[in-house]
Amino acid sequence: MNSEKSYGLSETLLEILACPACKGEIAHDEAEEKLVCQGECQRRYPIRDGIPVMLIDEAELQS
Amino acid sequence: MKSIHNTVKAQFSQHAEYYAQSTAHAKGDTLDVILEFAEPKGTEQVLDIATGTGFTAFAFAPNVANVIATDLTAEMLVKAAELAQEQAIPNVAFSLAAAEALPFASASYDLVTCRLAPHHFQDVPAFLSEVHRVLRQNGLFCMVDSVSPESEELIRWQNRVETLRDDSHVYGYPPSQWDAMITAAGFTIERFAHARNAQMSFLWWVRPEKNPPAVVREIRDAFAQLSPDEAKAHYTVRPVGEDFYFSWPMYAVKARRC
Repeated sequence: MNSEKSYGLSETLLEILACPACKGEIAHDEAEEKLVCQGECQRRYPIRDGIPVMLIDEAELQS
Repeated sequence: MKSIHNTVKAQFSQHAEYYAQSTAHAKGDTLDVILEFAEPKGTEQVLDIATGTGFTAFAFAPNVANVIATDLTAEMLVKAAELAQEQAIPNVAFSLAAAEALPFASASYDLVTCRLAPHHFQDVPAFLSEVHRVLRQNGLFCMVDSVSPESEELIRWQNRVETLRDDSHVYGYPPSQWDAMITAAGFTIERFAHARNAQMSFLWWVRPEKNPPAVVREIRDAFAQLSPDEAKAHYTVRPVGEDFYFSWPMYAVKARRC
């Protein structure tokens, strides 16, 4: 809990996050500030105000 | 699913401050019941679904290892995160999530809580299936929500009244239907309790600042159509001058994942 930005991204949370669509594992793309599905769908989820937005209809699909 | 999710987001995005300051949501018997049912030992990984501004998550945090708190509405979680920082609660983290599509690996949690929210969910069986998936074997699911009486007529009446007042209300099931859905999702119900929320002033609850006079009148007329016995037995209706006070029936369940 070093800053507000990192507040929602605790290690505990990152360890258990999964894609809400395909349930694939999630990787944190720190450069892009995205949470990226490593499973079938490869959706990219935004992080806003330090909080993961793990909503299927707000994710970007791989083109 | 998308449309009710948008309605819920629109409804709650405007009310984060209201919920943060609401004693009806911060305190009360429903929080006590869910804490008593859960019997936390201090080692649990906990998920609180539809946390709003975090009251249930914050109540559990000192008594468990970690709490992840989810909600559909960003404004609610931003407020919850602010409150967690103000209160220096170190073991709670937040994620936006729909109750019907949880963003967690299977068998991640020892305890899942959900308080005063499922009547806003689009698909309760899908929610229960997701709770079952993210719980470990023998994990606990503890929920409390407003429910309808066990009467087809009053189920229709109550859901009509609730939807008139707040279009993010989806459905308030009676306890028997909750039991059937929870059991069908793969849980064993270990305890249950019937409760009520604190009595509310109709003129406050009906949100006259948001709902037009015609809607307020329609809801008031609906209450007037209840028989005196129904009004008293199911909703504790008590006239006070131009106003009246009433409460909703609540149902709490402790269910173990089979």
